[in-house]
Order: sequence, then C-alpha cells, then structure tokens
Amino acid sequence: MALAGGVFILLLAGLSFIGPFFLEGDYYTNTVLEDKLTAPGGEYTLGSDHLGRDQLGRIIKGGQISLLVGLVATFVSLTIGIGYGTISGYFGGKIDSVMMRLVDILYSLPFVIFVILLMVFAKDLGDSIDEWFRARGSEFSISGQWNMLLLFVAIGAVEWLTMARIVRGQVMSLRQQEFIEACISLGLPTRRILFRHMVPNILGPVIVYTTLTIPAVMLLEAFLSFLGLGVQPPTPSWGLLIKDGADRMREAWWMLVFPGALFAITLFSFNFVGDGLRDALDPKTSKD
Amino acid sequence: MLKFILRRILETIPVLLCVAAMTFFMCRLAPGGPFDEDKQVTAEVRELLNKQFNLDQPLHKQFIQYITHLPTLQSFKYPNRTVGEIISQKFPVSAKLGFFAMCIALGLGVLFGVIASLRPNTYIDYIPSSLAMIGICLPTFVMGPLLMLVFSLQLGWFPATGWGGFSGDQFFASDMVLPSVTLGFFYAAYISRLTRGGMLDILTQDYIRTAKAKGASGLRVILKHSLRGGLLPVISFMGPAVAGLIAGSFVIETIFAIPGLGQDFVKSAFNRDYTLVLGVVMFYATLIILLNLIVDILQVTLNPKLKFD
Repeated sequence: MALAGGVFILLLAGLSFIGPFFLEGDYYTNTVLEDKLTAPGGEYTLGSDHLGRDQLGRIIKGGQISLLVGLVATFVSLTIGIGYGTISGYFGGKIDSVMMRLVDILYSLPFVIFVILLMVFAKDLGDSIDEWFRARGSEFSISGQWNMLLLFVAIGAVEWLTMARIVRGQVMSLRQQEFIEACISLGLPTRRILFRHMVPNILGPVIVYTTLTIPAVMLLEAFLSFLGLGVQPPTPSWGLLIKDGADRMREAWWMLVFPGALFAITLFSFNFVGDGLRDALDPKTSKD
Repeated sequence: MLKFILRRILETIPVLLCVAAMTFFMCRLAPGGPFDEDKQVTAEVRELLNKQFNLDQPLHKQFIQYITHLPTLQSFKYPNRTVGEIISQKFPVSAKLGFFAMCIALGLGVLFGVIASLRPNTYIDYIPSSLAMIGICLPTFVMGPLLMLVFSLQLGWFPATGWGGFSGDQFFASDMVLPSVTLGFFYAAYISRLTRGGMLDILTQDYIRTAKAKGASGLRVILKHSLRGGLLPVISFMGPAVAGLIAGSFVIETIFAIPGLGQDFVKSAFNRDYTLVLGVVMFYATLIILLNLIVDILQVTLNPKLKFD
C-alpha cells in the first residue's frame, strides 16, 4: 500500500508540474461561456465548470498549487520545529521546561481561529507593502504572491508543534550517547554539535513525520480555501474547486466528485507512505 | 488536586490576556475598517460612527475598554445587539451540533475500535480499520457535500439544509442527522484507531490473562478490566478533538446553512466586526482551555500511574 501510495504521489506530482508544459498557457482560465456545465466526456474529459472552464486543466493547476503549499508550508514548519526542538532538547533543564510549557500552552489554543484571522486581516497588507515601495520609487511588487506567502507562513507557523516535540525527544536521548559527549569534550562549538552531529541523526523520525505533516498542511490549505480565505480565484486550488463543486452539485456533480475524490486519494497516499516509512525506518514506535 | 486546578486556572489568565492582545492588535493594525463597505457613508457620518463605537480613541484605551466590557459591547454589524447576546443566542446551536457529533464519534469509534482489537489482523479487524482510514482521509468539506448529494438530493431521506425544522426548538430533528454525522465521522475514525491501539496494548497484559483464567466472562473482561486502560489514549485525544470540532463547525455550518456561532465567526472576521471577533475568540479560547483542564483531571483520575504534578 505504501508503495502504491508513493507511485500515485509521483504520478500526481508529474502530472501537475510537468503536464502544464504540454498544455496551452491559459489552460485553467480559458473561459468558454457557451460550454458551461458540460458533462464529462467528449471535448471536456472531466466536464467543465460554471464558467465553461476545462475541469481537467483546473484540477491540474489546483494540484500544482495544493502540492506547492503542502511542500513549502511543511518545510517552514519543519525548520521551526527542528530548530525549536533541538535547542530545547539539547540544553534541557530550565530552558527546556519553559520552552515545552510554551508548546503545551500553544497546543491548547484555538489555532485555526488565529489562522483565519491572519488570513482575513493580513490580506490587504500586500497592497500596502506595494504602495510603500512605490512611494519610494521602487518597482518591487509583492501583492500578486502575497496570498501564497501568507498561506505558507500561517500554516507553517501552526504545524510545527508536534515536530518540535518529536525532535526534542530524539535529541534528549541522543544527548546521553558517547559520541555527543566526545564532541563536547573535544570542545566543539555548540552550534556545530547541534547541526553537524545531532540533526543528521534524528532525520529518520523527522522524515516519517514530514510525510505525515504534508497531508495535514494540504488539508488546512483546502479548509481555508473552502472558507474563501486561501488561494484567491481565478487561481484554483483543490479546496477552492471542492467549494465551487459543493455550491453547484445540484447541476454538476462532476465539479464536486472529481476534485473531492482526487484530494481524498492524495491524502490517503501520503498517509500510507508515512505509515510505511514509519514501519521501515522506525521499528520502535508502534502503529498508534 | 485543588492546588493543581488553582495553578492551572491562574496560568490561564496571562494566556487569555495574550490571546486577547494578539486578536485585538491583529484586527486593528490591519488595513480596512468595519464601515469601508458601506459606500453611502459620508465623512461626517463616519466620524459619528467612529465616535459611537469609540474608534476615535487611542488604541490602548480601546483595548482596555474592550477587555473590561467585552460581553456588553455592541456589535458593529448587528445594530443594538451586544456581543454577549449574540454568543448566548448562537452558541447553543453549535454546542448541540458538537454534542451530537461527539456522541457519534465516541459511540462508533469505541465500538469499532474494540471490535477490531479483539481479533487483530483478521477480517474483523481489517474492515473497521480500513473504514477508519477512509474516515481520516476524507475531509469534512468533501464528505458533507457528498453526503448531501446522495442522501438528500438523490434519495431524499434527510433535508439538505437547516437546523431544527421550522420551529427550531425541538431537541432533535431529521435535518440534524447529516451535519452531525459529517462532523463526527472523522473523529469516530480517529477514536477507533486510538481505541484499537490502546486495547491491543492492554489485552496482552498479564492481569487480563488472570481475569480470563479466574473465569470472568469475555464481556466482563472487556468492559470492566480492559476498557478503562484501553481508553486512556482516547481521553487524552479529547482536548485536541474539541478544538477540532470547533474548527469543523465553521465548515459544517457553512455547508448546511446552520445558524450557529461558527458561521457567525467567519462572517464577523470578513466584516471587520471587531467586537464580535474578539468576543468569539475569547469565548472559544476559554472554552478550549477549560475543557483541556477537565480532560487533564479526568486523565489523572482514570490512570493511577499519573499524578497531579
């Protein structure tokens, strides 16, 4: 199952990132109003949406966006989690207890609420930044990518907590081992010990948890897009496509079923790969 | 135990203050205001409105006024309604949805988890376990519309939208089924996995063998001897589950057009309804922290190995 999941993810990534090279530039925004809500088959393999856009093209572009958000936001959370967990686990004592108490408190907060607020209230900030630069005679513009950047940061800032806990546990047990003590007695600088000797040794569990974080991140992105807070139209993401489909499922079931099913299968695959990797790399942890 | 509860409650106060400050300043430092979209508003009217809602005062003064008078503050978008009134009117709907969902999650989850754990790695295990995997991977916003498509639009068994029929004051109505199932299914799946894992750990213990050897019936071994230990992972999951249910209610209430607090929260954020946003955030934060505390106490009382530290 894990292997099948992995193959599916690779195929999907190939389709979303390489597929567009074989399509025309406007494959996901090309609007043909006469063809709106065409059933699947014929000219439109997966049907067309309420504006007559090709559903297949939109799913491909949506997959590209969803995977991109999944990977980048996971990377952000990975960086924060590893940094935080390593420091907390290595120094131990007071620093550790304060840092971990903070994580406990953050765990108990309604995070999704903050992400929603951040997405709503920081939405127009991109325009403000542009204005600030324009006022100083610079051509620099960020508002086009602002929403994606915000998504990366907002989601990444939420999902690092569990990673920090896992890394901390690993580092604490590594700290007891002889080779780290040897490093300390050799007088290596702390930074070098942490990043040259500690981090490479905790990669196993980290990789496992990373494959499990990606689907969680994609879920959060789709959740936000569904509420109208994530990726902004006309750029599609799977969450947005599912929302469009849910709004029009009475007339056009294909607008809901195809993106929904694909999204579920993708999450499925990531979870299977994660479970498989966990069994392979980390035999100690049991399956739940 | 009393000391533990007191300490935790004292710890809560600075946390809530931080939440309030973060929410307030995030709202207020962002561009835009609550009256931006009302095109007809002239400069004079805007000034009057700003005065009425104290928007013309310095920020720190407003903040202090907000946190000291939160429940009695007026909403920006619902004229003449206070934050407290809106929350006390809308929250019971969301709470009921959450309650039904939780009942489904615990009932189905524990049942399937226990069944799966009794015969591990047979079909009795595989079927509930794969159902659980599907439940975990099918997000609520896919599941909700799909269920609606099948059960209300195609089969016509349940109403597609609404809450509590026309009168809205019945305890249970057929239009509550789909939203509750949608919201509860993910947690049922997760809880069944946790239950299965917890039960598998317990069922191999020596004391279970002893109980069986002394002739306790199978049902008694499960209910009396194993469940208490086997459900510990489920209990510790309850805290995050409640937070998740609240987030899930935002989506469910939007899909099924349920007049609850979750839908109101998302709308009020879009509308820059500062007072209502802050009120709802504080309400949810307090609720989650309180429920977490209850879960922690429950955990210690059920698991003799743990102590109030």
